Formats: sequence, structure tokens, C-alpha cells
Amino acid sequence: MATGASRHDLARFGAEVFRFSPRQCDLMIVAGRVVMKMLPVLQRIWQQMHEPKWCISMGACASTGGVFDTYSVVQGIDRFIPVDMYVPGCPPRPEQLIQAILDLQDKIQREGTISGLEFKVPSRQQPKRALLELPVINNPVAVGPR
Amino acid sequence: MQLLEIVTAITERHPGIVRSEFRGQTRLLVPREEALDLLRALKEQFGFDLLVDLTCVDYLNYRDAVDRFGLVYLLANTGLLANTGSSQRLTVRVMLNDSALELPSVTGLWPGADWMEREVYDMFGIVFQGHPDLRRILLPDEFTGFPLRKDYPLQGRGERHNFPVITRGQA
Amino acid sequence: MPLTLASKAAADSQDYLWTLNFGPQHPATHTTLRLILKLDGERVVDAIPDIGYLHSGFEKIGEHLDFNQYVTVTDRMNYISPMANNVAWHQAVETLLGIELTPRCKYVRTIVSELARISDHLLSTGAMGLDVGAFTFFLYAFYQRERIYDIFESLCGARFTNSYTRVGGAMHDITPLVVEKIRDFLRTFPETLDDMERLVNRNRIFVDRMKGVGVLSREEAIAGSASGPVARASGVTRDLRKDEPYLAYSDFDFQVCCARAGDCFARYYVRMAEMRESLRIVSQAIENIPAGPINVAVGERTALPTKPQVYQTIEGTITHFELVMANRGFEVPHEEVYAAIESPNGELGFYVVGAGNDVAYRARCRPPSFIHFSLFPRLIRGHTLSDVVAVLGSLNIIAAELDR
Repeated sequence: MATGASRHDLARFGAEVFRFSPRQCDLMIVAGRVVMKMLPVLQRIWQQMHEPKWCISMGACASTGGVFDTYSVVQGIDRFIPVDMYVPGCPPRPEQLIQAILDLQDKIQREGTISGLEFKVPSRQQPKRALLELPVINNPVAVGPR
Repeated sequence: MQLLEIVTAITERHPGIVRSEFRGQTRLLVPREEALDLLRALKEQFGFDLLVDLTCVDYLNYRDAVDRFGLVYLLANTGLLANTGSSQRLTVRVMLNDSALELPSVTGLWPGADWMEREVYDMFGIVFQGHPDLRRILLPDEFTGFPLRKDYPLQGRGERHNFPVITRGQA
Repeated sequence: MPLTLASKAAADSQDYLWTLNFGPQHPATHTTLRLILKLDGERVVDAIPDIGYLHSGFEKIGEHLDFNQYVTVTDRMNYISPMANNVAWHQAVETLLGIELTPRCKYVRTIVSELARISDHLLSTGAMGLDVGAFTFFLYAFYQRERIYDIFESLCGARFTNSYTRVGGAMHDITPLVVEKIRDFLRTFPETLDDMERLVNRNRIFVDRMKGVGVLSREEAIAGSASGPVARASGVTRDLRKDEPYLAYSDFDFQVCCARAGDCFARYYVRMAEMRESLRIVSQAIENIPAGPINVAVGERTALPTKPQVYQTIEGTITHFELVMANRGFEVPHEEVYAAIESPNGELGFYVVGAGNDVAYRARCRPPSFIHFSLFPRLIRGHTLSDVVAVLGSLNIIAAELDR
């Protein structure tokens, strides 16, 4: 929140308009840890956004789970949704987030996207390395008396 | 009424209650059958009008532990409703075992216990009889384990990886 | 404006009611919490909170990290006033271990927790203003918050997640630079506070949206276990700083701020008034910091000794060895204690069970946001949809603390 407020003022870089509906957005900033109750919601938000769209994973907790290596925290959102830019730090300083947005603007300048078609080449559809290391479990074991 | 007098009066009336003291905090270990009666008496007669917290401890690997779960009621006498101007705290503990993980709800005494009991149910699987709406509160409804039990691993049992993957091509 | 309240059963039977899903990603909720609202036109007939969208197992982590490591996790609990959480956690641990802090440490912890209270209240009132349309108010509040961040950054190196306290003391002693920054803040902050009050206190839009909305009576507040500014705005005069003085609070002259109305405006007003009292406490404390060490004596074997102590004294060497070696550490009784502080949001307490080693067997947190959010359906029933954000803002719900 401080990024948008008085001192750091993200508006200087032309990236400030917060929209309350995912259908009007083109950038999703995942700030903070994502837990398993939130992840389906997050995926739904991502699917509701129109192309072209980008995602910033802000902070160690969103990128890797951070210190929260527990039963409920997803260990990195890039296992389940595509991520364009990672911001280190827990939490990152506002300057880091601003830098990430500038870098993302730079990336879009270089790579471009109109319809997301350039992402549909087979080389981009490879699963992430982190996913190859860890098997996706389809049937969690049911435990407990109830 | 001083805390000491209250505790003495209670232990005389209910001989099954064990009293202990540590760092100036008075605890009462109450048999499960007497728990609701005692809590009601504490609220209505002795003026413990504030339920500060309600939580549970799983004594699975604890040294010298006999019982599995210990429910903890942290009560405070704020003296606000009766205008006595006092401030006392009392901890009431109730032991439970796997054979009967049930206890009467105290939502009738302190409405604020509603969510606290739901959380204890969510995390430990203890059922509060008479609770108006006993559902999971923090974890999703389809979750099966009780994570704060000591036999539940910190990293969980794979629930956190069990989601579909969305790639760039989709969506 | 009291309105006819429909009971829940009646609400279910009325099929003209419209169900609205609010959150969990709606920006007005600030963080991730979800409300299922039953609406009759624009009136909220019933609200069903659905929480847990940020539940990350804090209490489970507390059973695996030692007392000094867990303080980093408490930072992330109520992330708008992490210092207060640090103080609360280590106060509980020190109660369990029976450690008496040095006078200097008590003063320093008092100062940082009061600064944390100011920064928390700035955010909560600022965000409250933002939600009801007072954007300038929010910018004023955030500018002052950055100054408190600056103070914390010079004190402990981190701007946001401080992890400042340690068992038996603190990470660093307070430095002259920090003292100077705090003095500077004390000099200039009242002016901004006056400006902020002038901006909205008599602003018709702000007052109309806050007054009479979300009324919590005194009896309901006590029955619902409310604490802190939420309870004090309803006429509950309980403040742990006065009722059960901890740290150095008994040395200072300050007042407990209360209101009778119990509505959103009263909660806003209590917070604004508390900031002034916090300023008084800090200005008294900063001029009277006792001399002496900040950590407890080496003989207690809880706080890490300084490097000269380690190299020049045998007690220092032994203490350092005992604390640093993995299989050593504190001697902790097999006991359990509860200790609470008056955090900015209300009574923040930890119930710690010791099990011989320096890892807590159970680290239960009593989160004020959790308790206050359970009061929310009662507060919003009968008001309009636009009042939802006003009531949410006035309760100051922090999802990380709510869900843990």
C-alpha cells in the first residue's frame, strides 16, 4: 500500500490505476502468501482477466512460500499460475516493487504481446522445473476421526 | 471478593477441582462433567464477565501427560458490569481424551466464544455440544485433518500441492 | 438509525433477498476476507463472514521454531504494528521463564510499542478515511507512517518487519540517532494530527457516513470479548496499560481514551485521541530512559552476551556457548502461562506452553482481530451496503492476524 501512497507514489511511472474488478486489469500483483483456501480464488481471478495480462509475484512468501513451510501455504504460486516477475524480500521495499513494474514494462517492450499468441509455442508450455521436482499428489490421504 | 477467596470457595464446593499456581497465575483443573457448571458459576456468581480466550493444547508427547487434550478457558473479571473496579484473571483447564472429544459449549454464557470454539473444532476436532454453528472456520470445508494436533506433520499431507495448474496457453 | 432487524430464519425464507459475495480479493477489505451479504435492496439483512483465506499455520510454526526465531513470524501476524507483536511474544516467553527485564529495556520496549500504536492507528484511521472517500486524509496518515518506519529502520535495520525484541532484551540498544529522530517526530507530529482532525472531524460526508453506523453497545462488547479501541469506543474502560501495568507504563502519566456512542465515529475518535496519549507517553519516556544495559545480566543465560564479554570473561564465553550450541539453550519449565499486552488493536496475548527446551510446545495467540470480526454481522445488520466498508475499516481487521 505504501507504494501507492505519499512518499513513493507509483503514479510517477504511469502505473497506478487500481481497478477493483479483475476484468478491467492487466496486471495482477500477488502480494503475500497464498494459502490453499485462496489459491482457487486466485486462479479464478487470473482466468477472469483479459489478455494481455501479467502477473507479479511480490515477496518471498508468494514466490516460494518463504518462512511459511506449513500445511496450508502454497510453496510458490508459479506452480499453479504463470508468473512474469518475481520480487524478492519479505516484504519487499516499495522501491523494489516499483523496479519490478519498470522491469515488466521493459520486458513488454522487448517481447511484446497483443493477444498472448507468442506464448502458445511449445517451448513455453514446458512445466516449471520446481514442478518436475515435486510430484503433484492427486489423492491426499484422508485422516482423522471425522 | 479477592481471587483467593473465590478459588477457596470453589474448591470447597467442588472437591474434584485441582488448583495450581505459576508465576502468579491461578489455574483450576476441572473434571469434564463439572466444567459447564463451574464456568456458569464463575460468570454469574463471581463476576468473570470476560472470556479472554478459549484454546486447546494437545499433550500427545508431553512429559508426564495423562490426558490427550487440555482445553483452556482464560477468564477475566473486569468489574465493569458490576462496577467493582477489580481486575482478576483465572485460567480454567479441562482435560479430554480421544474416547470422548465432546464438551458443552459456552456460547450461552459468553457469545464471544462462538468463533473461538469453531477454531478449536477446526484445529483439534473437539466437538462442542450445543454450539449454534459448528463448522470449520479457517480451513476449507473439504479439509480432512486437524492440523494443530501433534500427530499432524508441519508440512501437511500434500493438501497444499493438490491443485490444477494453469499455464500461459490456457486462460 | 435503528431499523427493523430480520432474524436469520426469516431472512432465509424471504426469496426476494439478493446474495452478494464481497471479497476475498476486494480492495476495500484491504486484505483477504470474504463476506456473504444478504441484501434487501441496499439494506444488509444478514452478513456471513467467511475467513481463512490467509491461514498459514502460525501456531503450528510456533511449535517448531525456538523463542528467538518465532519473533520473525510474529512480525507477519499484525504487519501494520509488528513491534507490538514482538513485545507481546517475548513478554509471554519471559513470563514463562521468569525473567525480569532491565529498566532500560522496559523503557525502550514501551517507546517502540507506543510508536507502533501510533503507526497502527494512522493506518487504520487513514484507511477508514480512504474507504469513505477522504483520500487526502489517507495521504497525510501514510506520510507520517513512513516517518515511523524511518525511526524503526534506524533502530533495528528493518523498515517493516522489525523482529526487534529478544528473550531478555532487544536486538540493539537505542542509539542517539534514533532518540533524535523520535524527538523530531514528537515535535512535528501533533501539527499533522491537528491537520488530520481538521480535515475530517467536521466534514459532513465523513461524519454522516460514520455516525450512528455499526453501533456496539457496552454489554455486547463485553459479552463478545471485545477489547482495545473497539471496546473503549463502546464505553468499556478496560486498558491493560492501566489495569495490569506491564513494562514501564506505571511510570507515565496518560489517560485511557473512551467514548460512549459505540459507532464507527466513536472508534475513529478513540483512535485519534489515543495517538495523542501515545505521544505523551513517548515524550515522557524518551527523556527519562534509564542508563544501564539493555539485556539482562550474563548470569541469567538468556540474552546473547556482547563480544567483549565473550572474549574477556568466562561467564560470557559459557553463556555464549550455552545459547549458541544446538543441543543447549534455555532451561524452560514444564509449565504454561498467558501474558497479554494492550496492542493497538486490543488485547494481544500469547499462551505459551514450555516443554523443557527452547521451543514452545504450544504457542497460542489471542488475536484481537479475530474476536472483533466475529462481532461484524451484529454491527452491520440493518445498514446499507456502503456502510460495510465503514464498519470494516473502523474495526481494523488485519487478515494476517485474523487467520494466522
